[in-house]
Amino acid sequence: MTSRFFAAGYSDSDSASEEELVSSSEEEEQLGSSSDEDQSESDSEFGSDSDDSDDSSDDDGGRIRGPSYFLKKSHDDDDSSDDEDTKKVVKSAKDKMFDELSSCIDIVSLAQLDGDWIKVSSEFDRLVRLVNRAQQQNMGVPKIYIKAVAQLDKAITDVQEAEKESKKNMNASVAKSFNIVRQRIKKVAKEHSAQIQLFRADEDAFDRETSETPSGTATPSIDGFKVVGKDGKATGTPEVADVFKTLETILASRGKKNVDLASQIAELEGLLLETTVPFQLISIYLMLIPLRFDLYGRSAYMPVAEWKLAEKNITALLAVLEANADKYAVTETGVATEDLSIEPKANDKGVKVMIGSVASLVERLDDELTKSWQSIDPHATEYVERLKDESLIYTLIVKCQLYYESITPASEFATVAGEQLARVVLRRLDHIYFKPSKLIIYSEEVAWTTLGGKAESVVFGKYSASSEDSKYASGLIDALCSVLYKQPNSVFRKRAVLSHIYYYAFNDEYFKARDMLLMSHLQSAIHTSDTQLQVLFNRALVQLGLCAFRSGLIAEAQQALQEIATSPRQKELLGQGAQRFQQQQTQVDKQRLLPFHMHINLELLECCFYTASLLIEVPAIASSPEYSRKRQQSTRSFRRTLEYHERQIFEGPPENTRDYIMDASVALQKGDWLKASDLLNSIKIWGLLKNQDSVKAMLREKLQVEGLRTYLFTCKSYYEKLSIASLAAKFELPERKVNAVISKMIYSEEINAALDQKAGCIVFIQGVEITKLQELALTLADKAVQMAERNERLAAGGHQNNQIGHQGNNNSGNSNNTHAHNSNSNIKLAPVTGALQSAPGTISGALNGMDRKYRKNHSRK
Amino acid sequence: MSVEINSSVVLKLVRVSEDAFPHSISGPVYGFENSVSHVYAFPGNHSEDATVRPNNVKFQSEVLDLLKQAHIGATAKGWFISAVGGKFLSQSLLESMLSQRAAKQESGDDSPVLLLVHDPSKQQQGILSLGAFTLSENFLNVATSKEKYTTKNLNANDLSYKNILQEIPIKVHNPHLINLTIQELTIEDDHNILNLSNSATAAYTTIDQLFETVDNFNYNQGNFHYYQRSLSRELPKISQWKQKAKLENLNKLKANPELTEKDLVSLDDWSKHIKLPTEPSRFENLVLSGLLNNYCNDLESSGVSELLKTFSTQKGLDI
Repeated sequence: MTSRFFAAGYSDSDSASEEELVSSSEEEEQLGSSSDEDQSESDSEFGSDSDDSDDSSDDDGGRIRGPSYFLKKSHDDDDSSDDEDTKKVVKSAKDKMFDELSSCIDIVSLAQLDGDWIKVSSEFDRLVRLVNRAQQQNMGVPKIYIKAVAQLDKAITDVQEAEKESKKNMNASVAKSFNIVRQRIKKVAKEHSAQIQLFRADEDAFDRETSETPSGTATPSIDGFKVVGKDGKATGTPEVADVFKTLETILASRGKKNVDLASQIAELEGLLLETTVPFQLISIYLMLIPLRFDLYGRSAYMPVAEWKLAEKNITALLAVLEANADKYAVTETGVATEDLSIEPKANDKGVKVMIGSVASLVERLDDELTKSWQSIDPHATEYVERLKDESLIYTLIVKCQLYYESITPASEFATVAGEQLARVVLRRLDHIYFKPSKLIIYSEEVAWTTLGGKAESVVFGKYSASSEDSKYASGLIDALCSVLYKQPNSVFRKRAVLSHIYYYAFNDEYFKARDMLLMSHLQSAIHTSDTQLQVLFNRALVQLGLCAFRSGLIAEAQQALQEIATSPRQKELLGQGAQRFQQQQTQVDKQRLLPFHMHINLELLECCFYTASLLIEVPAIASSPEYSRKRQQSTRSFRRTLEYHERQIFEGPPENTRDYIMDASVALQKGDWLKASDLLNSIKIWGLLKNQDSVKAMLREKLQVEGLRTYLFTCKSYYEKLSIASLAAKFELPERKVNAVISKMIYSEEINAALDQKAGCIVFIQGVEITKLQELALTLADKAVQMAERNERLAAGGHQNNQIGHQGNNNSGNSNNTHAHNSNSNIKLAPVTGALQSAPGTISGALNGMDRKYRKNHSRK
Repeated sequence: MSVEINSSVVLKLVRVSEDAFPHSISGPVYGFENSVSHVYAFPGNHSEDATVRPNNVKFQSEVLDLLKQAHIGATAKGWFISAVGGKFLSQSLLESMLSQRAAKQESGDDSPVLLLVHDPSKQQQGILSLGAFTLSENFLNVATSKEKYTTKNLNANDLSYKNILQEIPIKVHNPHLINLTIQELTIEDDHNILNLSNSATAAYTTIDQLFETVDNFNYNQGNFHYYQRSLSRELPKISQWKQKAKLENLNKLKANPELTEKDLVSLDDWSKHIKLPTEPSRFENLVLSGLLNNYCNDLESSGVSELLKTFSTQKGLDI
């Protein structure tokens, strides 16, 4: 209570202090007495809440009790605007309420006299509602209301008595309303029993008080605003205790319902202007900034203006901390003092360490920005506007990092104390890891210019125009990550390494990124980590695949991209959207999504994957028609898409990326590499790649080679000899290259051929390939082996290895059961012998000369 | 016992199954006593696995009614089925045959249910592959007994995959008019029998089917392994319990030698305390084994003729 009032006093004095500074004590006394008056008047009108009805605090320097509720309100509200006006408004609101109440009560009592209980019932409902509203606005319970309730109560009992005597019944609906009112009154009377008793005890006195009200309410309105100075303390610099009392009250009300956060913020803002004591300033900031976040905790994101205010506050806090670096420090490891007002003891360096977390504040601010990115439509200009704020937060993060660097010795980076630094560094990394170096440099430039010339970082030197751009960017990332790698908490290390991999992959350093991914051993345990980390892992992996593609490492690219590109949930996997059919998204799910500017283009991803698949699959399909059946799932999606494409009755010109690729693969299958290359190069999405020309050139070259391979596979059974020179001309490749490709194919036994170097041609050897029947026979042999194994197991009683030992054990106890076992195996063995009898005959022929291939198959498995 | 089949029935069978090839087709056959006089294919699509589906029962009885209206006193004799490489055997087929047999017995007809099997793949080489089967006594005994398809029961009735069905010799009967017509025909020998082309495509499908059956068989075997293992876990428990019971009995006898058998714990009471896992039905296994047998026999027989051709060609060409 008291402190609330204090708060009121201070916020008043903001506006009034200049005049009040010189106001004499007399004036104050006078004012004090006027406020006393004011209090008694309003007290008489609005009975104060039961809990403070007869508090003794009235005597300490004219502080207002009950009415202080609405007085305080008025002060809070008017903070920035003209005092007089607002006060009038507030008063009139109260007056209005009062008028409404009294008119309502009049109607009720009139209706009651008429015996119109239906009207009484409805009006009484309204009355109760009004009073509730009054209570919500901290106006207390008006006495006229108590009076009305008491009178009604009495009337009801009278009516009941009369009814009993006369035995005359009321009409049904009236009786119903009557009963309702009776019950209501009972309830209400119970709530305010104390006051009602008071009223009953001394009806006149109560009445007298009420009669005074109307005039009293208006009194403090016009000249009463000077009341602000009423308590002498409001003038001059606020005393230490008062600041902290306010803070404590706010602290106590935090997280509770029905707390007017806005007014608390305004109050704190007022306090800020008045004090210059660093300790107070820091304390106020530490309280104010979280309040700002609390205010919009429930909305989708913080409004931009509020966000900027919070940002300014944090910057100011950091400035204060920096200015007083030798006296005060704020960290999470600080020790909480018993009371807010007590300064913590200075440590050996003379620095007083306060508990608090600038890192959390910065993180929260960053989160709010992310939230706003998440909820703004990314195609609106608003999004772009908001994106500009990133440089603000980035600068703040750098600043915060510098602050932590200054208070944490470098030797402690790897300890718990360094964790706050690590958190800030992680945020910094989060902001830059997905950007091309030019953008990184840009934000660095902005940050360092804002920070001014003096600032210097331990972790990584500051940006200057002389430093080489790309080197600086990767150096920065390296340095940031190395801070995180030293952290004892594995979450930092994992995030750091994934961001690091992402960065390298993004900047075309495939081998570096791949080695890091392999050495991190993250794949094995990534399933158990939290979703965000998994998303980051997927992003890094996809980026790695794209990087491999750009560098012409087709097989690697296909491998890396495959799982995500073929997944129906790819959006979800990359944190770029929810599953299409997911029914409801929780708040948490939404927050997990990445803002639009961090997205990886899914079409590009698909395009790269399918192009890589095309280069791998088309020759493979040509090499063996049975191919699709044998190969593992990896290639299915491409095969399926291709088959679907081929089934299409009407083939229009290609429309989307996939159409282009499928048309290209059809062309390549026919050996028309030039058309395939044209089709692939006309895909528009390549424009997103930064080195699209070199990628296109790479693709063309790959298509020539794969076209050659496909051609050889398809035509090998039709030719006896092929001239290398003509092949080279057909595929526009140098003869050396053709030679190399063919040699490789011969070496890996993909084709059965020989190179005749003298004549410059390739000689195919026909009839070595196995036929389908032979292949079937081989599989049959496998199956037969399987069945034989099964039967052995059956004979062993279902166990795989310990046939003999097991039966020996059993024999002791169950001689009658072993018989069943034996007969059992007799029956079971029968079908297999049958199968085996016929099988070897079929197989042995096929195996002749085939064992070479067979063994090869086996070794592959 | 043999079955007499009208030549017109055979020709119709051949035509119908040729039309459906490579799919399978089935239908009811009608006739008198030990002869088959009429055959109709089931309407509708012919799926990969021909079965005697329940909704075909209606068709069956409708045809029978029509026959009666035409004053032909033929009765339902069973089914025909066209299948490549002996693929006809299936659980549902056997069950349908059983149920028809039961229905027949109810109406006082004790003739066996016939199953005519035709393999259209042999057709291309000018071979008529037609067989008539009926459910064997052993199988009937097992199927109608209480224990159904347990290993013990199979053993007791000496039923194995080889004798699920019993083959009946076929006699193809020509009506006299046809005999006369044939007499008038001059049949040219086109030496078709000397055709050396191979029947590899038929072998492909059979082998593919064989693979599938082997996989199913292995799967079924796995289930049985599981049963075996759980059984072997229970057996020691039983013997332990028996020993414990024996000891208890001895102690009781020592304490009071006048106890009669009744007061003692019977050693056969173990089933009250320990529950053995129930043996899975061996029916599927039986059918799969039968199928495997059919495929293998088919491959063997076709393989023999192929080999013969190969060797004779080799000899003839003097390679």
